[in-house]
Amino acid sequence: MNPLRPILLADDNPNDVELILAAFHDVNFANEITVVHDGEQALDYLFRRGAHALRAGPQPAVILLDLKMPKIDGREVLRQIRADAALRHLPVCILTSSREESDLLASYQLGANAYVVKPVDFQEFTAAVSKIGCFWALLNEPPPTV
Amino acid sequence: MTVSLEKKVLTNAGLALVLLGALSAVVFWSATRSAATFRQVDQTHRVLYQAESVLVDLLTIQSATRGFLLTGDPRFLAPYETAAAKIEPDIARLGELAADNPAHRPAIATLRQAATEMLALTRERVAVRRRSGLGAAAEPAALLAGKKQMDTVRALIGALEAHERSLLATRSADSQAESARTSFGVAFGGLAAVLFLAVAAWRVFRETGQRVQSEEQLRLTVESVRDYAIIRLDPAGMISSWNAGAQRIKGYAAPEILGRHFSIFYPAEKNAAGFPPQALAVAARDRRFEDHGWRVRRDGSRFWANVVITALHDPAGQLRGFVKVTRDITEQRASQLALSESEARYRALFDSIDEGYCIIELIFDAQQKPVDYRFVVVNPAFEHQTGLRDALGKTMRELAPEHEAYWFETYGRIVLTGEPLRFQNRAAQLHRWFDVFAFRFGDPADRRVAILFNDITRRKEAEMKIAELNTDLRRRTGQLESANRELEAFSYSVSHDLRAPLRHIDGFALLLQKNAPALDAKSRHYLDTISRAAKQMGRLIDDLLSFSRLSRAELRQTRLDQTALVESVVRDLRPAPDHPAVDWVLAPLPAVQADEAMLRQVWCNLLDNAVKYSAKEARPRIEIGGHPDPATGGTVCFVRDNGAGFDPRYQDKLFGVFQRLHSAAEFDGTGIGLALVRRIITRHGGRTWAEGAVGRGATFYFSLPATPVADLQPALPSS
Repeated sequence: MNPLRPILLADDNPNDVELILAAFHDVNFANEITVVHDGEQALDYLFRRGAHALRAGPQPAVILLDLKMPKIDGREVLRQIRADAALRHLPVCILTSSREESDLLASYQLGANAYVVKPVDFQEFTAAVSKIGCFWALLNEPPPTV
Repeated sequence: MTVSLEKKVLTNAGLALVLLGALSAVVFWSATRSAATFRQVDQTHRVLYQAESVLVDLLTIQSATRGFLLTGDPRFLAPYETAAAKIEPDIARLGELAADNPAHRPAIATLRQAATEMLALTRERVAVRRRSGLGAAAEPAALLAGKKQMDTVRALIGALEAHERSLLATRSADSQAESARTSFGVAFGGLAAVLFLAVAAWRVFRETGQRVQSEEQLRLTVESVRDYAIIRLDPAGMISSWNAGAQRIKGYAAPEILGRHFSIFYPAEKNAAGFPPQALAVAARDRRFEDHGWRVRRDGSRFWANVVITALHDPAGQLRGFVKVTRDITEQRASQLALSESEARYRALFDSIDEGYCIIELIFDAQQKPVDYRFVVVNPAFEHQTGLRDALGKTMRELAPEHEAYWFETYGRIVLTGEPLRFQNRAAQLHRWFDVFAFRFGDPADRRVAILFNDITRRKEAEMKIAELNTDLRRRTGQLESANRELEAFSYSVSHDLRAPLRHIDGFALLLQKNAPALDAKSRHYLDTISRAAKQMGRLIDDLLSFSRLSRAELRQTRLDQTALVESVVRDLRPAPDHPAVDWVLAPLPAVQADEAMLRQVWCNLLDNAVKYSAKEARPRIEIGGHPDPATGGTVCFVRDNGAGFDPRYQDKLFGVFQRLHSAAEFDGTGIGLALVRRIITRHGGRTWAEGAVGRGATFYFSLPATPVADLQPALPSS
């Protein structure tokens, strides 16, 4: 079992980020959580370029990806991840406020591994986030090449 | 042929008669001539006899005189006196007899003189003898004078006799010749007459033979005619001859029908009316009787016959019988009836159709350009359809001088090409639009076009109105589409952007509560309220979004087993933990044609409601059922609960969006569920309604049609 890999959280809404972090904190989640605020930063992080050009360490265990983000949206990020030979098997969990069928469909078509709608109820929200974290970061075996 | 024979025979007989007449005339004439000749001969004989008498008288006078002179015996004077007394009448008689012959008159006169002289001389001699005796009396001179007188007389009578005898000879010869001629004439004429009569007789004989032969042929011909029943009737109507046609048409063989009365061919009702004898009476009176009607065959079947009965009279005008000629014209009659029926149908159609119908005759100018047309036939609807009165016989330009050239050109083209045409066009001067079907009628040379048309002005106006409305509708649809796109963008934004702050409100309120354990009860209540309100708004947004999503989703109708569907929905229901156990009554449900996801939503919402509103009952009972709907042929389903019910006055509000009849404190809810049910059922072409009373439960119904309807609200194109 590999050491605790980080989780990449891509969300432009600072409130959501704060709540997600609080949720992880509540369940004593040990993994490092890296937060980016738009799609461009997410891609820079993953492809180790721009501000993250010098990033060391492994790729994240999972990406919690919001769809609606400035500059490059979540779909595009997902598309580029799946298009890249090294990142194509990276687990991606869409974490969004949208229940739109079109969003669901597009996400799965692009190769999302999971799709979670952010509940309004904070307790449900905390439960959802911690379950996602546990599953992807602790239970799930990442693909070997990543 | 008959006439000719009669003519010939009459000619021959006539000739013979003429000949015999001529012959009689000849014989009569000849006999008359002979009689005349005989009379003449007789006359001649009488003249001769009379001349002899005169001569005898004179000789008697002379000889008596001589006797007396010689003897003086008075006895000789007796014959003398007798002769002397006779001589004058005898000569007179001779003169009478010879009067027809003028040649004799001088001889008679001379004879009379000679006789007178002789009488005078003899008387003188007698006197002399008495006075002077024989000597004086027998004086030679006197005797010689007497002899001379006597010679003269003899010569005269001899000449007369000779003349008469020659006349007699001539007349006899004439008479004989006449006789011979007459005999010859009679013989020849008789012979000729006999000859003519013989020729006539021969002709009659020959012609009669031919006639018998041709009559035989005629009989055979008549008998073998098959298309006509030709029969003869005696004056009483009994059948006396029968031909093949009669057998074919009427079905009787000759032996069984000959001698029967012809009324056997007539139907009972005709016989009851005494028709057959009347027919014969008319035929006898007018010589001919014709009739059409049903007749009866041997097998009882009927046929429609044309019958001609002709009376036969002999030359004396005596009725000898009838010839009855019958034709079976059942088929002709049927086709004639069919024809007249179709004609009547056509006429009825022509008169009764609401469509205008007319036949026009095109009028072309010198350049063969159609410039006008004349109405030669118009139907009763024509006036109503065109507004033109008394159009028949008039031309279109007379009726509407400004009628568009288009009409003339169109009909002209139909006349030339013969191709029928359907078109719609406006006639400005008539202020009408017409839907026209026109085709060439009859001979192309007649230049006629038949036109079936309808005044479609109102329809056309309506169409134009519709087109206008359509344009307007398209514009509005465009507006609606863009509004819808905006709405979609809005709902997307709602789902994303409005939910996030709520989450944050709830989240941070909770975090605050956790991080500030020292908060008093009131502050904690405020934070609770903030959280609850945020969650409620989150649910409202979720319901609103699902309502909008279901409204826009495409209908995918399939055959659904509702029983299984409902069972699955009931299984998935998650009643509140403190909800009392529900007494479910599930009847089998009719299968329907519907979108599965949407129908599931309907049942979900209805059952959810039923569970929710019966939560306060000790024994909640929910009954589910359905049955075919005889009114529409579709189905009706219902969900009945024994829960809180509702005030029927507000029934209409039940199915409205965000309409609630209960407070959130009483029953949790957003007011979307029933609105969604109604929206889905309406899109399926069905209906929703409810029955209930406060505190006595509620029943919610929905109906679905037997056959799926076109989606009443097609999904709009997504942006």
